[in-house]
Amino acid sequence: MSADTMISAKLLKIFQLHRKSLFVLLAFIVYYLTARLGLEVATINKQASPIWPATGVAISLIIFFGPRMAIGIFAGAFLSNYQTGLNIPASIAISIGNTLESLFFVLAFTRATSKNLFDVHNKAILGIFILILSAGISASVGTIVLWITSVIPPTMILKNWITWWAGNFLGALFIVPVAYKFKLQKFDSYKLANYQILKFLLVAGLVVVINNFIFASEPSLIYLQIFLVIILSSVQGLKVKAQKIAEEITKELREQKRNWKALTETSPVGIFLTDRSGNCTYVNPAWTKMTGLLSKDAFQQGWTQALHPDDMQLVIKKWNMLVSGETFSCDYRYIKPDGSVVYVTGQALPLRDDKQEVTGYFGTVQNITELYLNQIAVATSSRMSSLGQMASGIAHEINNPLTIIQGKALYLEKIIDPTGKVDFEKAKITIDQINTTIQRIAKIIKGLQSFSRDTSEEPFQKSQIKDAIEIALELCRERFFKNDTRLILPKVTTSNLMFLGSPEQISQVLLNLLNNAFDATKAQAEKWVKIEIEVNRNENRLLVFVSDSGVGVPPQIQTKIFEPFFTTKEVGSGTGLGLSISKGIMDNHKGRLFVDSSKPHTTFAIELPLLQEQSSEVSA
Amino acid sequence: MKKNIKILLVEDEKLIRELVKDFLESDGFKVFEAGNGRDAFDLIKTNKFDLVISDVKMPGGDGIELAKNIQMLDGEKPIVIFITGFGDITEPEALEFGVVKIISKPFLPDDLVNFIKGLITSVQIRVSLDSFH
Repeated sequence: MSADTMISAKLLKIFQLHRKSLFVLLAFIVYYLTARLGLEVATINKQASPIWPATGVAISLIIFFGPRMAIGIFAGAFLSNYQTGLNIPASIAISIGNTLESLFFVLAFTRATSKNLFDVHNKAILGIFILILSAGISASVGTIVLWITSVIPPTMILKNWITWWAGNFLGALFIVPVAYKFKLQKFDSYKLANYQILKFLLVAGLVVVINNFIFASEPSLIYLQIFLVIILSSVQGLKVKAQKIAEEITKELREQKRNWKALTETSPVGIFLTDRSGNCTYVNPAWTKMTGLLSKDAFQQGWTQALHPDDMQLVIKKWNMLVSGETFSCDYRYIKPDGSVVYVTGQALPLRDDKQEVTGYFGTVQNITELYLNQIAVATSSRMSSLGQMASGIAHEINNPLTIIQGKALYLEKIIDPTGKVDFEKAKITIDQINTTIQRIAKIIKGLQSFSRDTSEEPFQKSQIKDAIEIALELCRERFFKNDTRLILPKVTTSNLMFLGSPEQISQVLLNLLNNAFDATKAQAEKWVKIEIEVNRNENRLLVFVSDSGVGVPPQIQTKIFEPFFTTKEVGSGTGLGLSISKGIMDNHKGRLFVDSSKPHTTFAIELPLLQEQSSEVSA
Repeated sequence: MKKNIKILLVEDEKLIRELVKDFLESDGFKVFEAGNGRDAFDLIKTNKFDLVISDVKMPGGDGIELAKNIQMLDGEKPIVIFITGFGDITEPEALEFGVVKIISKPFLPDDLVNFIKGLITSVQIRVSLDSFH
């Protein structure tokens, strides 16, 4: 260890031991210098200064280093006062006043704010109030001492007090908040401190000028100092309030920014922002993942390169519609750099400022590739399964008559061939039977045609409900019969019940309901399906009910059954499309398809506008 | 010999029944008719048949039910064959309840008759071989 380091170590030890005393000494020096500075501008007499930064400095010292600093402050105050020519007792008294002032402020303020009852703004108001009181202590002690020692005449008491009080108050007003900020927050306050000191110097200069040139020439105006105090303190208060609001707004903004970030960065949905002219300014990770582009590649017009070439036109068209005030909502495709296609559904809306001016656009993009492919698979499989169902149905319906025709033809051949003699009676019967059976097949084929033909574009015509029911029954009667499901048909003659529409389409709906009813009764001991017709002549409505002996539709799925792809049947046997398509057909006919829960059995009803019949033949 | 062969024809389609019956009878078989499975089984319980030709889907008791009931009979059982529409049942499935053959519609009555003749012959050969043993 060298001598130097030994010395510095020793010094450090001394410093540590006498640290507190050193601070007291420091307080003495600082206070003394500040007080001398204040006294330089004393206006009323040598002691009362209209600007007294020493009060602020004293309070700051106590805030930072504790009440112990009061010793230094007292010493500084004493020395500076004594040098103005006061005697020792008077200097001591005034110094006590100065010291008490600072101690009082710090203790009162710390105590009042210890319970965190006040926000920043209220704390500032409280601080100003306490400062008014503490400056009063110093001013009162000082003025009394000066009066007793006859430094001032009784006439000057009030003016002296006001100047003293105002000087101390203003001196603290701009310094104490800085000290508190330093103490409470570890923030970049040097700039703020500089600014505050500058402001203090400015105010101090102003006060000195006003006092020297206005109050000095016209002492009665000295009371105006009070207004100066009020104005300056309210400025300080307002500033705190503005700061508080600004801080709150900043806090809120920061929080919103954090939330936005968390939301967009974790969202599985692609999110983008553009400016007013559609130049992209932001895309979230989900978007970049979806498109395979980097976010910087998406900026400006870069996002358009993610669009599938075939959908480019569509998206641009929709985007232009959005710009002209319509909503943007469409399904389109992205193509990734690796060539894979992503199906998405996108929404966008304009962002507006307070004046309702569009500032940009916000959009979301959801990847629906899986859903889309699933739907295609379901649609294909349901088409296949309904095709299979239909094929087996047709085969069933046609194989029996074919067997008959084939057999009968063979029979004819036999009764004609061997002898040359023909039993015309037998031959006639057989030929008739063949013809009837051929007609039976023709009827089935006709029924099928009405299904395969796309009738959706055909104009509606006056039709009989009877025909629609007949077509539907033709394609399912056999199935019901063979499975022992009783078909209960309407007793009312329906020949005169007309509607405007397509009997083929209505029969599709009915066939669908009948097939559902058939499936519902399959596992039941008692199997029946009933068709009923009801006419509401008052409202001109025609109702056809299809009910069955099945277990019924559970209430919780009653609203779902009309949704596309909803099915309760086992995989492969139902398409889940029947009722939704049927509902569409009924809507086209200005009619309704609904579950009539007022009936005791499962009852589906179709309702059509009744066309007024020409003839009045009604039979029941 | 054929006169002794008693066949029960079960089919709900009357014209098919008539047709097949005509052809079988002209070949010397004795044919009885039933419109559905239940009626057929009632007949089987009181009469002895060598062969049952049955449709599969019929109202009032289908062919499968009938075949199962026949399988559960004690003593000598008639041979059962199905005449059927489209994919109602596969042959391995049918075999499980003793149905030896499925003839798909549409069929020529001659083909059916020929098949039955062959079937009867093979059964008779087997029967006589058994008795020879």
